[in-house]
Amino acid sequence: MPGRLAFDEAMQFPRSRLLVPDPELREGQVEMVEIKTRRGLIRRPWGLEGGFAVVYKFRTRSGQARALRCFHVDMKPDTEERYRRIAAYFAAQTALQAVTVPFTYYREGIVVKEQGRGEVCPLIAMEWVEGRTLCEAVHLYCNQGNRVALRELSQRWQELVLAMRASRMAHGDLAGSNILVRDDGRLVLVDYDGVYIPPLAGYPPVLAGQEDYQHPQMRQRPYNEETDAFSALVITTALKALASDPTLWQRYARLDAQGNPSESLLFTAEDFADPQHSRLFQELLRAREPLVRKLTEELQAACLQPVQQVCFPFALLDPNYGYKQALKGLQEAIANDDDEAIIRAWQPLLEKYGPAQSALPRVELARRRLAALRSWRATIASSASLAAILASYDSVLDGTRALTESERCLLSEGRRLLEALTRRDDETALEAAAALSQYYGLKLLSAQEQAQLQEARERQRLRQSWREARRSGEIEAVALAYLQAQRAGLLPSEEEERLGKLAARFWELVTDPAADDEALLEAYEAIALSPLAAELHISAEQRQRAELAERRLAALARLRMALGSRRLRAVAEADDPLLETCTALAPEEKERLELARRFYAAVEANDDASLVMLGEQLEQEAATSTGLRLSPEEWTRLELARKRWRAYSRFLSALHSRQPRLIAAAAHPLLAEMQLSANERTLLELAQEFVAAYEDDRRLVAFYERLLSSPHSAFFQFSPEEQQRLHLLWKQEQQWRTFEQVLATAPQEPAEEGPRRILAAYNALPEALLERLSAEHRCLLEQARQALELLHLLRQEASPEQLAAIYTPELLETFPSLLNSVQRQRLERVLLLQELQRAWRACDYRRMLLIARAIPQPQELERYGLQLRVAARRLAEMLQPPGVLLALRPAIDGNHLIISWRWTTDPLLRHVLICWHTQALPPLPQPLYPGQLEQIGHYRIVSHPEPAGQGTASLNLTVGSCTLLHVVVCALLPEDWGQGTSGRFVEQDGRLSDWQAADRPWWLGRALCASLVLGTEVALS
Amino acid sequence: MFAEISILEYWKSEHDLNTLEDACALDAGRGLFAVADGAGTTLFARQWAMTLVELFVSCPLLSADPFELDWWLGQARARYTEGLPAPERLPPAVRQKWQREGSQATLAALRVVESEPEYALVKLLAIGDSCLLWRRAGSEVVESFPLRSPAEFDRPPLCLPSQAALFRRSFHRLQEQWLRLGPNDCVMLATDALARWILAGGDGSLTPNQCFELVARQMPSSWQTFVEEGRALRGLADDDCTAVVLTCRRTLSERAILLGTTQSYQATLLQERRRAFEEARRAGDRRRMAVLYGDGTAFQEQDLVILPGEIELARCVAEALDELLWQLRPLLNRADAAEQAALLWQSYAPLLAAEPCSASLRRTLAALGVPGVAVEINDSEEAQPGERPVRGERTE
Repeated sequence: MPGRLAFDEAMQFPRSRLLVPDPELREGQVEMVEIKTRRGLIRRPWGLEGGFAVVYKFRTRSGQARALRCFHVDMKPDTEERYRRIAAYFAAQTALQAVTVPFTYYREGIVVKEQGRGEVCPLIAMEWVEGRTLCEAVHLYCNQGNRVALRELSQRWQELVLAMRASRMAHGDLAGSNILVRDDGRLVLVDYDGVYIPPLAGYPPVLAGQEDYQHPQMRQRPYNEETDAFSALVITTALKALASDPTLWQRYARLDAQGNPSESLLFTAEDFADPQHSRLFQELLRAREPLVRKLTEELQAACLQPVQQVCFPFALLDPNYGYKQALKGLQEAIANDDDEAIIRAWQPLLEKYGPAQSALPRVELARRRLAALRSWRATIASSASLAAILASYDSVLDGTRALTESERCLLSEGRRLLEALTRRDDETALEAAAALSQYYGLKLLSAQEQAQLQEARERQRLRQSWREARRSGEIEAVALAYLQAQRAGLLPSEEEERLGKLAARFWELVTDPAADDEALLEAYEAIALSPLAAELHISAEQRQRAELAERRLAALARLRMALGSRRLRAVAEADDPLLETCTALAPEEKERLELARRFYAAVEANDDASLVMLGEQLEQEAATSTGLRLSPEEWTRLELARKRWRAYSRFLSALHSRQPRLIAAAAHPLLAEMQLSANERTLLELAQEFVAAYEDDRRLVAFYERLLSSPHSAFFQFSPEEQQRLHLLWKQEQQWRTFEQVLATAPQEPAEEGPRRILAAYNALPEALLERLSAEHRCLLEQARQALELLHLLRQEASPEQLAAIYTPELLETFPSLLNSVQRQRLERVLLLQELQRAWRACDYRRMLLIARAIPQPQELERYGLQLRVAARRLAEMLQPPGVLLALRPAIDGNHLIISWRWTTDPLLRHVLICWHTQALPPLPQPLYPGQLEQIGHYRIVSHPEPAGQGTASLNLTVGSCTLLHVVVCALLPEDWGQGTSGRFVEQDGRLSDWQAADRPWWLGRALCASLVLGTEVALS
Repeated sequence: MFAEISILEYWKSEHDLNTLEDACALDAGRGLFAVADGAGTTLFARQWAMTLVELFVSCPLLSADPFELDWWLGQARARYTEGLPAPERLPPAVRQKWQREGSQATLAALRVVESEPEYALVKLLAIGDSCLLWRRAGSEVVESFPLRSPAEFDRPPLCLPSQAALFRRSFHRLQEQWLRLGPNDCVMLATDALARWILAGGDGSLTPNQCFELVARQMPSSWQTFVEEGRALRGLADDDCTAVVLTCRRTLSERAILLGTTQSYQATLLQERRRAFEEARRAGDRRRMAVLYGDGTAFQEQDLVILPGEIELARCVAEALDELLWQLRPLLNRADAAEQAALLWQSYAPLLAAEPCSASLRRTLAALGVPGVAVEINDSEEAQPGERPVRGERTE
């Protein structure tokens, strides 16, 4: 359940949270209490928290005060039921109306939110009682020394106790805080969680109660009208004592720090736990007023008694209380017309109590009735016959309420049963017996009565069974019920007789698998044609059975017609699976049908063996006068089967010889049409292949391989000559495969290992296999020889010309691991130099320079230095950066020369020289040495960082103040071969870079010259 | 580093500002920001939550060390009780509940330790389900601390209690994390309903980043409408919704203000703490010494001489005393309280028997009838009537 603060919160929003239908409440407001803090006022709902609930003072829309009670602990599931009964009881009991307040329980009373989740909780709305609690009132009167008020309070309390007893109610939690004293002095009980009222008898107890008012064994306290015995005695004693001596309050009351009384009333739990040593008990036992002493003695004794035995001493409050209570009990018993209660309530003390004498005749009647009842019950207990029991009943018992329900039943239903058995009214007899057996079983009936009842029951069962069967219309149910009713002699009407017979006949046949189809159809049709057909329901299964019989009869008729024609095919065509279960089929009919069936099954399966076997039987059949005859086509088919069978027999004989040549010779063309087994067909094919391939070596080897890999490798028996030939060919094949394997794997082996292995494998081949060498084989052999020669030359440091003569690119493709890295590099250099020479001869200067750049060692190129310089000069004259744009623009910090051009992918066009001067520039020297740049004027060399990158280059050069500027732009081709150069970004302005030695010249490309006027642009090409 | 700061507060439906149980406070000039959520199941929750955040921005807690937290909560309790009426002036039902349970609140706090043009280094401290959430500039990932996923909000949150007797150093552990914030990074201090909503992606139809962005964009003037729509349409829980949103900026602007820093306690506070420590040392009250010493940071810059092992012993005594009291409290109402308490005392007697800080405990044990508990005469004489140990409560 939600906590107190959650209820506090909900109470502040009655419009949205209260679910009660009363608008007076929903539009009201809870009373608040204000707490002053340094941060300001905090307003909280005013509420009294008890053990189970918190009570809020609530002001309705019209300003009336109401108490709203919310449970903050989980209540039992029957709480709502309890409160409903309590409210009704309070309203009905006049004595209680003055001491309780009416209330309404709302199961869905208020929405309480906790952790963001809403929960609907119950709520009790009741009148708000203005006044003080009993403790507060006692505290006030005692402090005032107001004995009159205290006596008045004590008197009111006694009246309240008597009113509760008169209404047989107990509060369950009598305590100073649960008894309110109205302003006019009337007492009111509040908090009804633990209330007992007679309608709650048998309910589990609610354990409420404060220990300063409760017996030490409160947990064992009974839940009945004595629940309050101890707490009421505590309060009674305390109030009587205080009325006698108000100063007791000053001596024994517990007050808090503010001087307010606690919730106890003189006594505390410690006093009850040890009354012998309680100072309060000692003092009260010496009190001047005798009633105080007696009450104290009673309370002290009660403390020491088990709580179940504690009773409130009403006699101390009223001397006639015992008489009045006894008479009240008697009057209640008489009012209830309860003879047993009357006898119990007639206590000896009433015999001399005048007001009780008028009830004496009623008591006597009760005694007579109870005597008669004892006698009748004895008969019931001893007798074994219903008739005898009924005979012993005394009519004085008519009208008494002492008879139990079972006894009343015995009287009425027993009489009804005996009459019905006499009249053979089975239905009534069974009804009466059923009612009787609820209480007594059938033990009160004699054997004869029981036998009569059993017969009635059986008859009734059969009637019922027949009725149900007719209602259902089910053939089986009707048939069985009819047969049973017939056996029991319960003859139904003539119409029912007919109906039963129809159903019984059909059911008998339909449930017999061997039943005659014609009889079954007859019974089926009898039902269908009967006027009672609508009353019988033939199930789908039964209908199928009848239809099966009909179809089977039709099939039989067709078969017989075919047999009459004597044609084998007609009989086979008249075959029907239904005939398998036909009991009307004659043995000879069945035999002929089987013959036809087998013949055509063999034809269908192309089963010559079966046909040959059937042939003789068919010939005999055709010889008889009524036997089946074969048509010419059937005869032809039979003859074919016989021929094929003979061919097959011969083939089998050859197969048994295991000689391939014999097997091949036994192959008859008819065998191709036959369904030989897979093994037979494979063996035949192998034998035929052997014979055909014998003269062809390659084919014979292929045959032999196939044979060896088949499951029949050991089947054939070859002649010694054949065997020798096969082995020789097999051995040669293995040698050839080894050779081929070497050719496939050896080229990958390093150095001369691969070529040597290839040549060795070739040398090992027998003569007979040389003719199998292909052009590819011979080429590979030649390459192996060349590879060995190349290796030899490399090791001998042979001249480049010799190496070039023997080398082909395919050689290293075939033998990729032939050369080590040194040999390979040497060979590549030789090849590059060869290529360089070829380029020189072909005047391909570009290629020359590219090859020269690819050779890292300068000494290799020494022989070609002159040719390369010539090539560089001639090529440089053709180099020119494309898309050159020049512009001279004024600016605050001096004029700016803006130059842009495009880099192409040409690996030789990687450097551009830009020179400018206000004076006309002299022609640039060719070649240009770095030292000469100083004499030219202003210049800048720009290089592309990548060997073959492209893109746009752009420069913005500050050139000082001028109106005219002479500019030369040209490509630079450095003599950078033999250095292993790679592209490097260099941007120079009057400084030498470190990427080229000072003595290596640059070859200038075609110079692009321009004279720029300030503010103009020029495109150069 | 500069920061644009938004303070967003709105309460549960039906409520108003007076019953808002969240609280937030900040001092951007010192780089201090805090939010707290008072537990609605306890009394004066808002007052406690406000006390915590206001204390943080005036006297920030510098670390999550349990003893440091114990000292800091002592400051908070002093402020809190000052602001409430004396218990005897409270209505009886309120008084009992308040004395029994006190107030509880979660806390999430941020302290700027370094503030440079390009970054700010901050320290985060948190307990319970009030969270700090942040998103880096240009990122769509929302990170959070100390809770990382919506499912973690299902568990009851750990709360800081206002009652000393309910605080356990080993249980009420603050978590801390360092964070380096760059320009345009956004960090948010949020109470549980809002933090959960962001991490869950609203009602599932949004991503955490979208939710974060929606909140970060709000201004105080739009916050009420945003929260009400969120509750009606986007699965925002009907709870108090409080957030402090900081968006870091490299430059000054109309909304951005300079983030200051706090790296140590104020000098006056340090002097007062040192004076109290030396007083406790003179009185031999090791428990109080341990709490006042805290994590020791406050004394690093001072020429206080600490003897070897002195603080370790003080902490052992404090832990033993608090643990014993914690275990003893539920035993006091049992019939066999004396036997149980005697067994308990046996375990701790070697450490506590001669400690002045355990004097009132020993008086309580002796009154219960625990044998062999030494009660010094001075203990009894010194105890004033108003200072007698109250059953079931720690006495200091």
